[in-house]
Amino acid sequence: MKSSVVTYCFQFLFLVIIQVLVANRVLLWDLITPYVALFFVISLPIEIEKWVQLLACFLLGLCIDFFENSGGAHAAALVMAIYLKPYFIRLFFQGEETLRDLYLTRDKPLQLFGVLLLLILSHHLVLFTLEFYSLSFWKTILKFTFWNGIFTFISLILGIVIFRNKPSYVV
Amino acid sequence: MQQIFDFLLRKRNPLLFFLLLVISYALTVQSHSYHRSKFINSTGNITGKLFAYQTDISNYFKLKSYNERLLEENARLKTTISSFNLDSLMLDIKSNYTYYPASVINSTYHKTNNYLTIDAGLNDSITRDMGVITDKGIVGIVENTSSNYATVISILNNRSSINAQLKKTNHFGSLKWNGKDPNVMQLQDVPRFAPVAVNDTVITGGRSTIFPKGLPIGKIIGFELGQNENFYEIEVLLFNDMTDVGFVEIIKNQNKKEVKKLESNHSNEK
Repeated sequence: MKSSVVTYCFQFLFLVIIQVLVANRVLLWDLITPYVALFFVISLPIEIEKWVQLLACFLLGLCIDFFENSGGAHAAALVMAIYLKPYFIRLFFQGEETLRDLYLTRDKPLQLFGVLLLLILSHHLVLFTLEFYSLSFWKTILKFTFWNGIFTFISLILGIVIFRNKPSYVV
Repeated sequence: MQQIFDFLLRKRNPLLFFLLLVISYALTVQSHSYHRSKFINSTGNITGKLFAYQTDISNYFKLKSYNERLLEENARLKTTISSFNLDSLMLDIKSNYTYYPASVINSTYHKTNNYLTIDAGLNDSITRDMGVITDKGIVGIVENTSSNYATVISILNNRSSINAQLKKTNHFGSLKWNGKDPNVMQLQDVPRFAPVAVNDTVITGGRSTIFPKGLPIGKIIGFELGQNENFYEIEVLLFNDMTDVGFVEIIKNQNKKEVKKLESNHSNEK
């Protein structure tokens, strides 16, 4: 238990640094940034107390907001994603009681993709709505959600592939 | 009472969820109101240092172009001085404006509300509401300062509105950004009597205490009459490449307090 807490703390710091120093600088075609911080939402096991998950994601978002001068946009988006995660999992893995770490469901890639896409959609919609701060930009918000979503999706899949052996994550 | 506690305990997760959402929303709202974004900004020591390290590295790759720009500016300044035909020792003119150098350690240009972080702060006598420029044009206005860092509201920001005018005549308007192209801004409220033409230069108007008059901004690439047919909507292509701002100068207006005091006296009389 203790070691996994340390692992998550490291992952937390790692994701903040990667997000603000690398991912936010990618900016392909002046538009696209992979939001790798969402990886934290995926990797948090569902067994952890929900309020701990919510607070952890809120803090992660707040850390990124500090760097980005974006108020509380990232915090809100990550809180939304972590809150909706179990519902999305239930939607795609119905009846199988696999409400566990998303890592353990790699043998069902299609369902995993479904959960990832819904998570990305909810995260990006909240993030860009708050960042643009005006619904009159709804076309831009949708455009950003779509294009950034694709790249976030790719980066999350890469993350899952690269960090596939994480036995210590089982709490 | 017990029931209320039970209810709260049972619903603690949804309640926490809504609480956190409300907090983040409040922080976002605050960051969008002028002069209020005090809590969440990148002037902190940790954020500033991290960005500074990164800029140290990335600037090496841009040294060549920065050097060329500095040489160009030097040449231009020397030409200006020589046209005065004065001994440089005699140049004891008291200027109203002081310029401080700084380098940009973080910037965005793809959002609707863009900010820059610079590595100069209160210790370098940088305070709120100072203008920030490069050799080519204007960049933004200082918002938050810590002892060593400051955030700058980019001109590419919904909250930004800069007093600007045509170089040929004194017709002025306010320069805003519609959030689309980071190289094109919109000059609004220029009266229809003004002789507007494509390729005309737009400069700062000097009607605020932030920027001195006559700084270059950009050139006109298109214009049309607005909805009520009284004012022009002018598209201005910036001279400054806002996607690559490396080094900046911060302008301090020495007479600002005096001007502000005079103006506030005036408004008190009303």
